[in-house]
Amino acid sequence: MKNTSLTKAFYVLDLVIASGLGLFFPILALLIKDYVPGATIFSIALAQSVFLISKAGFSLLFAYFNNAISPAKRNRLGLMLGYLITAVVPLVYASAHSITTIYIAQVILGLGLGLAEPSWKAAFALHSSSDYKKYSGAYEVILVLACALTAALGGLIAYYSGFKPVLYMSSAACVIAAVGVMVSVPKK
Amino acid sequence: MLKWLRTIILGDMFFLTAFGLISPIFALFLKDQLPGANVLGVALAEAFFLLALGVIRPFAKLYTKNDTRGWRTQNFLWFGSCMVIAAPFLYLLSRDMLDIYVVQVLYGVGIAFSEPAWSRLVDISSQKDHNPSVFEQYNTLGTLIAAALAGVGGFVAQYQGMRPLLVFLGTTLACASMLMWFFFWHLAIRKLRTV
Repeated sequence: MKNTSLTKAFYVLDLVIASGLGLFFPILALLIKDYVPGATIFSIALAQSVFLISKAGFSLLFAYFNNAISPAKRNRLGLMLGYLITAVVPLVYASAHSITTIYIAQVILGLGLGLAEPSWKAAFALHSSSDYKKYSGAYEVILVLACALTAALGGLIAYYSGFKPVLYMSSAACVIAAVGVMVSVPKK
Repeated sequence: MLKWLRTIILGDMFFLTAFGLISPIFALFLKDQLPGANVLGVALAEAFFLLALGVIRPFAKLYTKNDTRGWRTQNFLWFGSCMVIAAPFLYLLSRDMLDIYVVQVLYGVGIAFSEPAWSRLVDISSQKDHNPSVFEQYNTLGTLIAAALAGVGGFVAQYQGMRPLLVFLGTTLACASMLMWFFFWHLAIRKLRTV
């Protein structure tokens, strides 16, 4: 059944996950530099590089994932697992004590987003209504503005009460997105 | 012969990932080089960039929507990419966080202006190759290029310092956008010219 409210639900899911991660992404370098001993500029850039490579690799891997179970179930599972794996990452950052932990966290982040992103696109193509172009323009604008808002908010919270609340909030946003998938995306 | 070059330029999203050179360490650059920079300032710089992008982008799209011959989109591309090329050099010249906010707004406007040309080129490319999934391929390729550039940027920043990195970034952007101007003229204007 293709309906409009499901299209909007997909947009809201993407909004929640993007703005949740956008809370700490702009200030991640400062976090690593301040709290991880032995972090240099090169290792921070390398961490970003590790994340991007693992994200591209895992998205390719999951995009070609086989058709063993039905597409709707697979996409739902991929979305939920991806968001839950992503929710682990800020907690790892909050307890990181060495640069190796940061690299591992970046690989986990690549795994989560690489799992969630192709699943989101496939599920959107499967479930969304054909008039989604009516909303996509507004969605893009709202997405960018929400990311701007949460970036400023994350900086504000980090300035006044430290990095840890920001990371916990971001993790909570990912869990909320996973619960949202469980509630809204149908199994068939 | 030019197909691989076209693929790299389009996959690069021509500026978005060239900033892979600096984006992971931009926060450190601000913190180290500018007086009065803190976590809040760094986050606000990112927020100003996204704000400008989000506000300008729909208008840029609207203005270039019914542009059949492509000249208007080309003008937007030229102005936008000049703004983006100027951004790294203006980072070098800035004295405090207020300057950085202004440069970030300029950079966001530049990206929003040059985006319609990029999406038009991707459309033309996907029609040319008869391949609807071409955007995803470019996206994956762009991610890998950004990963490589992030590594290179970190290396240069570690061993040469931030200022050479910014000059290097500006030069890279200038070369990439000149190639982009050539490809836009070649594919979207010269090939589609009716008269």
